[in-house]
Amino acid sequence: MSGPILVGRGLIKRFGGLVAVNGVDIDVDEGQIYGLIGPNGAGKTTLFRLLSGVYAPTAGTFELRGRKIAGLSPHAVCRLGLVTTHQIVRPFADMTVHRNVLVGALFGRLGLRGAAAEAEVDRVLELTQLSAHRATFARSLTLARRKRLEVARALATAPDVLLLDEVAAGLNPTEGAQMVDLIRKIRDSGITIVMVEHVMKAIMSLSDRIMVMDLGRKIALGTADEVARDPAVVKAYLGERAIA
Amino acid sequence: MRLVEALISALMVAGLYATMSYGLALIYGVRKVINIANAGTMTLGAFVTLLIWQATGLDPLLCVFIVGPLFFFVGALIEVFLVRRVAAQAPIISLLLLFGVLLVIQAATSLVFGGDVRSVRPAYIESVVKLGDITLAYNRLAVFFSGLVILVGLELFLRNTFLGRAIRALAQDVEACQLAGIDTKRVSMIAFGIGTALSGAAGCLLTLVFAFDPTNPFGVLQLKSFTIIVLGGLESVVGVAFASFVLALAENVTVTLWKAQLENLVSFVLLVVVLVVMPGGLAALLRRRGVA
Amino acid sequence: MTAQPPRLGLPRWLTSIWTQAALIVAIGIVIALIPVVQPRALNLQRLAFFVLWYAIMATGWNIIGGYAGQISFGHSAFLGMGAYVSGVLWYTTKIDPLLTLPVAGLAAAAYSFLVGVPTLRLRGPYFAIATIGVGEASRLFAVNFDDIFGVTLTKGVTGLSLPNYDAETVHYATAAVFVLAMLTTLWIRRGVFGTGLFAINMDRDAAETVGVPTARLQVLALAVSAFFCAMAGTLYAARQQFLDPASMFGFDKSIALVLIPLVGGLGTVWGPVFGALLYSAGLDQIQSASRNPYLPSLIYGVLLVVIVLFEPLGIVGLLGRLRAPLGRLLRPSEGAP
Ligand SMILES: Nc1ncnc2c1ncn2[C@@H]1O[C@H](COP(=O)(O)OP(=O)(O)OP(=O)(O)O)[C@@H](O)[C@H]1O
Ligand SMILES: [Mg+2]
Repeated sequence: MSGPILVGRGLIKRFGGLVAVNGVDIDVDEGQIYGLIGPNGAGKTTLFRLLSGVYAPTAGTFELRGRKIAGLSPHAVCRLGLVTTHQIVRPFADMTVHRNVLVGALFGRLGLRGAAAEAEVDRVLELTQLSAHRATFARSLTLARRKRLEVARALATAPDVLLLDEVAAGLNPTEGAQMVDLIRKIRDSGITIVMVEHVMKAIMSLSDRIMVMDLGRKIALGTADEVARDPAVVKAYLGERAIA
Repeated sequence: MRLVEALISALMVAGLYATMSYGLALIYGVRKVINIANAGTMTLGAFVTLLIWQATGLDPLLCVFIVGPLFFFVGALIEVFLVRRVAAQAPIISLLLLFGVLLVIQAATSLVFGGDVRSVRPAYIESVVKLGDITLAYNRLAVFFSGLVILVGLELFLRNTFLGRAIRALAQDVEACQLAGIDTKRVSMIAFGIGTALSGAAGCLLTLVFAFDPTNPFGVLQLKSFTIIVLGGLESVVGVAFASFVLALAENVTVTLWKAQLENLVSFVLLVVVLVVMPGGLAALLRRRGVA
Repeated sequence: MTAQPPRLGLPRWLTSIWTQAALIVAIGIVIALIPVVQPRALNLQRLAFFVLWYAIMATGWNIIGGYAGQISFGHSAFLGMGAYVSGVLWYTTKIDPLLTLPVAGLAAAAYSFLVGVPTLRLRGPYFAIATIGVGEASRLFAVNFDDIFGVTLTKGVTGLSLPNYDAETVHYATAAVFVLAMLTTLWIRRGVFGTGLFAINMDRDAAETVGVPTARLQVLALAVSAFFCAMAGTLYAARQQFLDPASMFGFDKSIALVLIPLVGGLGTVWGPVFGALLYSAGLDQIQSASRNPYLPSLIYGVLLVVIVLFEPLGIVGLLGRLRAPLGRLLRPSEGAP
C-alpha cells in the first residue's frame, strides 16, 4: 500500500438552494477499498459524479495521482484512469454483453484495438463471470448480471480507480456474495476501489477505510469498527431519539 | 409613436401565435413530446372552417365551437392509438411517429382540398377600429381577443378544475400522480385532445388573418410555434402567451429596422439560440434572476 | 432507439467487411455501366441517378441520424451548401463542378461544425427541432444573399442557371461517390468510430463515463454526413444545371432524408439504399400511375407510422424476418445493434 492516489479538497456541489455535497475532503490510498456510506440523499452519488466529471464542482478541487482532474469531462477523466459505475445500471441495452464491454476497452485509458481489445474483453468477461452471456443483449439480462456488466464495462477501461455505486443493492445473498468476491478480486489485481453501499455486511467486511456522509457533509472517517462506534454515525442513521 | 404602434401590432399577432402554441405546451406537459403534427391539425382546422363558412356562412370565430370538439376527438384518438404505444420508448420515437401523422394529415388535406391558396373573407374583413391616431384592423383585434379569452379560459381550467389540476400535476411528476390514484392514461388522452382542439381553434383564427394552403404545416408557422414554446419554457400556458408576444415584437422590430424578408429568420435564429443557450426558456431565465 | 436484430447463425465470410465491400464495388460498377450498355435509355439513366443521389444523401444522414441517433430535420442545409458552392464557383470562375466535389464537401463539413458544436449538445427531440431551424435559416440565407459586393452568389429566388454539362460524366461520378459513401458507412459501422456512435445512441451519459468522447464523435459524424450530402449537391448542380433555394434547401428534401433511412432500416448499412430505391423509384411509379401529387406523401406518412410502431428496422428488418439468404447477407454482423 503506497500513498494517496485520489485527493479531494473542499468539494461543494449546489443544486439551486440545495447543497448536495458540502465541503468534503477525501483521501484515498492506492490499492485500498474505500467505503462510502450514509443515509439516502446524503450526497454519495453526487460526490461520485463530481469525481468522475459528470458534474462540475461548485467549489473545491481534486487530483488523481497528483494531476488535477476537476473540471474535465467524464471521458477525459476516464482516460486518465478513474471510472464510475451507475447506481441505476445503464448498459447499452441493444448491444450484446460483449460489445458493451468492448466499448470500454476501445475508448478506455488504453484505447485498445483489434485483437488486444478482444483479449481484454475476454479477460474481463471471465473475471465477472459473464463469458456465458457474451452474445446476450444487455436488455435481457437479469439485474445481477446487469450489475456485473456495469462493473465489467468499467473494468475494461483499465482504470486505476474504480468507483462502485451500490453494485450489490437489490441482489439476493448468493449474488451479493459473488459481487463481494468480485470486488475483492478487482482490488487484488491492483485497482483502487471507492464503493458506496447500503448493504452493511458487504461494505464492513471489504473496506479498509470508511467515510460516512450525512446531508452533504463528512461526519466520520475510519475503520469499520471505528465508524460503527462513532456516536455521530449512529445518530445520523438512527435519528436523535434512538441515541437519547 | 412608432414604438406604440410596434407594440400594438405585435400584440395583435401574438394572439394568433399564442393560440397555435398553447396545445403544444399542454401536450408537452403530459407526454414530454413536441407535437410536430400541431401545425398539420391547425391547417386542417383552417380548411374545415373554410368548408363551414362556405356552406353556412357561419363566422370563423364561431366555427371554433364546432372545430374544437371535433378536433378534441381527433387528438384523443391519436393519443390512444399511436402516441401511447410508444410512450415508453425514447422521446424521439414519439416525435417521428407524430411526424408520420403530420405527413398523413398534410397529404390528406391536400387530397381533399387541393393545393390552392385559400382565404376566408367575411364582410367585416376590411373594417377598422380607430383609437386616436392608431388604426386597428377589426379582424386582428378579434383574433387578439380570442387568444386572450382562450388564455384566461385555459388558466382557469388548469387551476380550478380537477381535470386541469390533474393535467398540471402530470406535467410535474408522473409517478406521484399514479401514486395519488390519478388515471394518468385518461388524463393524457384528454390533454392530447384539448391540445389538438386548441390547434384546430388556432386554424379558425388563422383564416381571419392569413391566406393558407395545405403546405402550411411545413411553413414558418410550425417553426414559430416551436420557438414560442421553447421560449416559453415548454409547459406553461402563460409562458406561451408571453413568448408569443416576445417573438412577435422581435419580428416587428426586425422588419421595421432592417429588412422585411428577414422576419422569418428571427424565429429560426431565436429557436436555435434559445435551445442552445437558455434551455428552460424565458421563464427559467427570469426565475434565475429572481433567485440571484 | 435502434431495434434489436435477431441473431442468425451466419457464415462469417458472408457478413465479413470484405465481402460487403466487394458487393458495394460490384453494384457501383454495374450501375456505372448503364450508359455504356444502354446509351439510349435516358429514363433509366435518370432514374439511376436519382436513386444513387438519394442513396448517397440518406447514407450520409444515417451516420448521424441512424448510428448516433441524432435525428436531423435540416439536412437540406448541407445539400444546398454543396450545390451552391460548386454552382457559384462554376458560374463565376468556370471551374469544372466535378473538380469542386471535395471543396463543396469540405465547405459543408465546416458549416456542419459551426451549427453542430452548439446544437449537438441538445438531446433527441430538441436537436431535431433545432435542425428544422437550421435548415430553414439556411434556405433564407440563400434567398437573401443573392449577391455580395456585386459578385453573384445565389441570385435569390430567381435561381442560378448553369452552363451545360455532360450527363454521362455526371453519371460515372455519381456512381463513384455512391461507392465512396457506402464504403465509408460500412467502415464506420464496423469500426471503433461506429461502436462509439452506437454507444452514444444508446446512452450518451453512460458512453461518456466509459471514455467515449461523445461531443467530438458526434460533431465528426455530422461532418462526414454533411460532406456526402454536399457532394450530392454538386452532382445535382452538374446534372440539372439549375439551382434554386426552394428545391436545394427545401424542407421536402430534409423530410426525404429522414424518411428514406427510416423506411429502409435506421442505422443499417443497406437501409438507406433500399429506402432510396423505394422512395425514388416508388415516387416515380406512384406519381405516374395516379397522377396525384399528394399520394406519395400520404403513403410515406402511413409507412412511417407503421414502421415506428411495428418494424423499427424498416425494410432491412422485414428482410431479416423473412430469413431469406438475402436477408441474412444484409443483416448487421454479430451483436451489432
Ligand atoms: N441533478 C440534481 N438536481 C437537483 N438535486 C439533485 C440532483 N442530484 C441529486 N440531487 C439531490 O442531492 C441530494 C443528494 O443526492 P445523492 O443522489 O447524491 O444521494 P445519495 O447519497 O447517493 O443517496 P442514495 O443513497 O439514495 O443513493 C439529494 O437530496 C438529491 O435529491
Ligand atoms: Mg446514490
